[in-house]
Amino acid sequence: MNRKLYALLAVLVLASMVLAACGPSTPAETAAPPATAASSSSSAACAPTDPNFNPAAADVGTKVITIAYEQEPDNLTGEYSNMSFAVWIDQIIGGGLGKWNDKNEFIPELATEIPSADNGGVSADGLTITWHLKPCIFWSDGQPITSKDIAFTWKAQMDPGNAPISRSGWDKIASIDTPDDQTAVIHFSALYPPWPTLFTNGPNNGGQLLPAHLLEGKTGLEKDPEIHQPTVSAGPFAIKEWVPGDHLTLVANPNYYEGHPKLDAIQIKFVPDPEAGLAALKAGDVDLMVNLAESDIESVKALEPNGIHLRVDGTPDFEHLFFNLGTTAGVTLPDGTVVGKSDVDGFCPFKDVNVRKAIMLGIDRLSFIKNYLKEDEKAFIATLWPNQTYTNTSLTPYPYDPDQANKLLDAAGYPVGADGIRAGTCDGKPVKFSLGIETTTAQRRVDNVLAIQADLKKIGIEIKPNHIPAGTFFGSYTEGADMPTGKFDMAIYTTGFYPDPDSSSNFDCKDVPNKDNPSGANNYHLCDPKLDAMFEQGLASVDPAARKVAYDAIQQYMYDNVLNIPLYARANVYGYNDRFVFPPSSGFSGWAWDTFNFDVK
Amino acid sequence: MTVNPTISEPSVSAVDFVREETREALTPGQLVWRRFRKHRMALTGAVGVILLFLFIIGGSIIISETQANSTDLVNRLTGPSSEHWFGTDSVGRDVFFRIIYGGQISLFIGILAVALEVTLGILIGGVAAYYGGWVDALLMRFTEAMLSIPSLFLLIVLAKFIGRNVAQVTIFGRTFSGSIGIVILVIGITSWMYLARIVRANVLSLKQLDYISASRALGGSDSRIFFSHLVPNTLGPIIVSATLGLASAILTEAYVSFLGLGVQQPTSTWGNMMQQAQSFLIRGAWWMWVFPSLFIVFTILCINLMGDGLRDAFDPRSSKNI
Amino acid sequence: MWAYIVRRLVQALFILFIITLLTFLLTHYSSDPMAQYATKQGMTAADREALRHSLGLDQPVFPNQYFKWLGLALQGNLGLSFFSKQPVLLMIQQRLPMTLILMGTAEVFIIGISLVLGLVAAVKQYSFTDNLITSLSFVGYSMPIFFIALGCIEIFAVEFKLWGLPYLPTGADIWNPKDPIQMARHLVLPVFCLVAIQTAGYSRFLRSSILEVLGLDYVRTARAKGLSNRSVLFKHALRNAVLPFVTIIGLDIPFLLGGALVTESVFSWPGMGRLFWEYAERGDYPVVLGVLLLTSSAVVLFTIIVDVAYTVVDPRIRLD
Repeated sequence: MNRKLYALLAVLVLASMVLAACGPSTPAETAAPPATAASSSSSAACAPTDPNFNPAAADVGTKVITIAYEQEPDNLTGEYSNMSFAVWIDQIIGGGLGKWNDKNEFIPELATEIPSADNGGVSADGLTITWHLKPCIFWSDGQPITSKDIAFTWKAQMDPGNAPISRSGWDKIASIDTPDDQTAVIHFSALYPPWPTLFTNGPNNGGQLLPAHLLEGKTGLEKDPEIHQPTVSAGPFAIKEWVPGDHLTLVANPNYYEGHPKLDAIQIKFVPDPEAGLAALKAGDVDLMVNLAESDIESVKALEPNGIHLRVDGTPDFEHLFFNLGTTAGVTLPDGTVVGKSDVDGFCPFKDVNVRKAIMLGIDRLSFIKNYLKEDEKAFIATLWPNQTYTNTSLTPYPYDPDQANKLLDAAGYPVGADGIRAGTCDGKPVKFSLGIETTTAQRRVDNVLAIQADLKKIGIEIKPNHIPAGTFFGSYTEGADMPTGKFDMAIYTTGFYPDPDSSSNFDCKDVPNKDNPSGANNYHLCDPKLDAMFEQGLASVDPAARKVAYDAIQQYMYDNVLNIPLYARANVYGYNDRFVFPPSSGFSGWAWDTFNFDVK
Repeated sequence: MTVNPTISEPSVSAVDFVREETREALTPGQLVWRRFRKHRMALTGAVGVILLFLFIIGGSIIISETQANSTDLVNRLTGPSSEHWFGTDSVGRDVFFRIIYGGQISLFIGILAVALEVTLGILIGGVAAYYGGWVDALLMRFTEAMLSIPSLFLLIVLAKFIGRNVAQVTIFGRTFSGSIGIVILVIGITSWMYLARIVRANVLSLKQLDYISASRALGGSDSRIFFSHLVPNTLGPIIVSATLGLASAILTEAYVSFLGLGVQQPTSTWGNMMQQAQSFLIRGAWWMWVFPSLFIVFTILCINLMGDGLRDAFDPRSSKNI
Repeated sequence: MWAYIVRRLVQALFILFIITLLTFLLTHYSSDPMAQYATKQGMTAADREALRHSLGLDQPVFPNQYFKWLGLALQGNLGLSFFSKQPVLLMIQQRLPMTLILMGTAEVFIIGISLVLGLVAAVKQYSFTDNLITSLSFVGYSMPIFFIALGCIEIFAVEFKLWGLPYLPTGADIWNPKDPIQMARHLVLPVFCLVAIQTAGYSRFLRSSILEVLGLDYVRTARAKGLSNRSVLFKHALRNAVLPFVTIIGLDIPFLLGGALVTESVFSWPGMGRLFWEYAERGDYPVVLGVLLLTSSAVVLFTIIVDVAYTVVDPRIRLD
């Protein structure tokens, strides 16, 4: 069945090439001898459109757009960069086996189809994933993209001589078989449900295929010029030039499997100041501005008379307020082991679910959305997995109800004192509801904390804002940063659990940071063995339907216990002008997933 | 002593002699006041400063701080109107009220920080030049080190280590984190270097003049020579530094506070109002920055006028018309 | 004189050592390169440990990390950026020419304009012209450059273009710096902004020291001797009034190398200020230290030059 589809595709590709009929006659040398019918048919007659394509010498052409980019990427290979500004470029120049579309569906990119239990791509035990590459696909330099590239990418990730950002997932692969040029059989040593994030450029992960023909045999790849600025591309565009600090020019890749993209080139101009970017958009110097903030929505709307359009996509990222739930005692498991110890105890009354619920009820969360999005209430979230397939839609957001909040706090034993601030005793010690909220220095957060401060004052809680530069706020345990060392009462930041919903490392007992585990990422200092078990359930199957059940249960549990307070889902905000044809984007997959269809009027 | 041949020897002309004679009857204090009053500009400056203080102190009697800090998300970013004279900010607070309360803290921090800056600048620059030798080398290398280290890093580190561990203080009946003292200190100790270098250059030149040598020969003490001869002759650049320093201190305060030291929201300062305005520029919320910046300009203009008057008053030789 | 210069150069080496050590420590305590990985999805504690190790952050800051950096720096190797893995020296070289073009042009205008303004204001003390210059320079000085810069873009680049008038570029366009005309057009607004805020300081200092000198006895003597105002001003007063001016210029020139963050950001100018800040924010110590080493060396060098210049400007000054 697969074979048939395969052959059909090969014929289609062949036909399209014949129709195009403008490709040079010399076919590229294929390294491996044909192993299957499909590849034999492709190697016989398939050739790149331009076997000697060199983007550095290519013409920029006439159909060009300019994108204002707030930050300059550090490195243009996703495996070696943590910047979303780099991942977006990777989505354009890098080739992945699959990608996520505007409807958050995982669709094939260089592969013929997404492996599943139905098509035999996922084995019954979930440990073997079989991918089939499209036949007759090429790197921009005319070399074929084969299963060797898949195997090489994994080897490069695991090579101790290289320093990629993350090996998680890659280290679960035991071996990769490449029975032929188009087929890669990936054997996992343990169940790894987030397998789609490997070998793909996602909205939140960089895992593009690395060109084996250029990188094989090299180590120290993180320093390699080909990694920093790839000369070959598997995507619709390739890098022509990168002028440090100024701009990046991407030109159409004629050897892309779908053919020449609609545009001739994309110019990425580094415009660090968003206000200056908006001015440039108004002046027509740039056609698209990405990564605008929610607070810029009104600014973009104001430019409507100048032919500027606004697009707002709700994202799976969310701003959340959370409690420091740390305990120095940790949690004793039935077998006697103690887990989840923090260096510092959190604010004692936070242990009481009713106190947490009162704070949830005491914050007018809707005001943030009204304030910034002015769209509708869809972004008003009840869960930590907003705007994605894993959202538990059965949850209704907690309302804004200061009366109920006051009642809960009174009942919890913390009456309002003479100074208007609640106080009482907790675990035998006097406590006062004069609490810090720690967050970064972004203006949006300054405004939000002000609003929260005003809201919580009405329920007898005094808030002392503490804005810290991001480089210190997110600092590590060993640097003595407040969050990992537990020196805070409440904190606010944005996070998001996608493309894979697993986020156990943010919540489980073994990731609570302490001196034995300084790199743990559980900033909530939350240790709840019951929740840990639920997260394990989410990783117990590769079947999306079964996982959905597990994550729905987790969301229900977090909602019932008010383990933290989602404030609002973040939005992707774009401003673009009349001449630019902007195909659908989404909060999930971003703007760069389909640059092939970018166009100008 | 090396003497520049192009410079003629100082001499006292007959006219000067007569002028000084006629003034002998007045005490030095009266003399200074008389010269100061003669300057219309200086008086204008003084009146301006008084008005400013009346505004920020009187205003706080009429308007409560709660009013200045009360947020109103429905009426955010509204322009000047009869209800909100200077409009509202991004969380709906009244800009006019916030200027009153912001002025108190901005001027308090600004003036004290500048006082510290000027003191350090005069002492370090003056002492280095006056004593020369290893004292000069040591102090000037220290100055270079202070210049080279980005004050931003110093601020972040200070904020990290001492930012939150300071007791509260009460000023003008308002309670603040004691770290505003640290803000003053930090602005003061990160801004004196230019002035020190300028004072040093001037003193290096002045100390070679005859009358200084003469004072020395007559057994004048170092501190007397320093404060009664050298400093007054460097007053011009000192006043310029102080005036410009005030403007930068008011703006720097916002940044330091942003890093967790000093005045925290919702308390307003002119600096943090300006900073907040930055994100709303393109949207056209001009009132958010125009009004605070007008007040800053007004303040330093008045202080500059006063400073010029003061300088002229202290400097008997300064000519009014060449 | 030469003995003095040699002695100063020896001191310079020592002070540079102290400065690099202090900046090294301050850099480490003011930002954390691991911060950006704190909430990265799909990254495990083991991944973070591996990264810390590969960046050398698991070593003690002092002495290990510092002396490792210093050892390499002494050999002319400023190391690789933590994130881009590019040689820091190369990154600096890429930004330096554009920085010098912008800052150098601005500095020339600042010095020229403030010389004129300072002189005019001093000579016509308390006249309308003086008061106007004073007021305008204070307006420029007390307004954050961000407002001036963005205001300029909005008016001269955006609105002028929309009104169909001759306009200037926003800086966010793609342009070729090798074309002198494009370069000139792109320099106008950022240079104007830098001049607007910097001139106040320079011209105020110049004005006050000219006034000071004009009051000195020998100047009055010179005038009494019947020399013309102009010759008194230029031959005597100005020459002796430039000490503070030379001081400030000498202190400012080293920082030209460091660029101007806000101006560069608003006008999308690929300068050192942005390089420094973008990497400082993320805690990329090698880049931060590389740039700071450059500026602090320049500071130390220029104070020597300025001190020597004093003796040229005012030969009465003796340094030994």
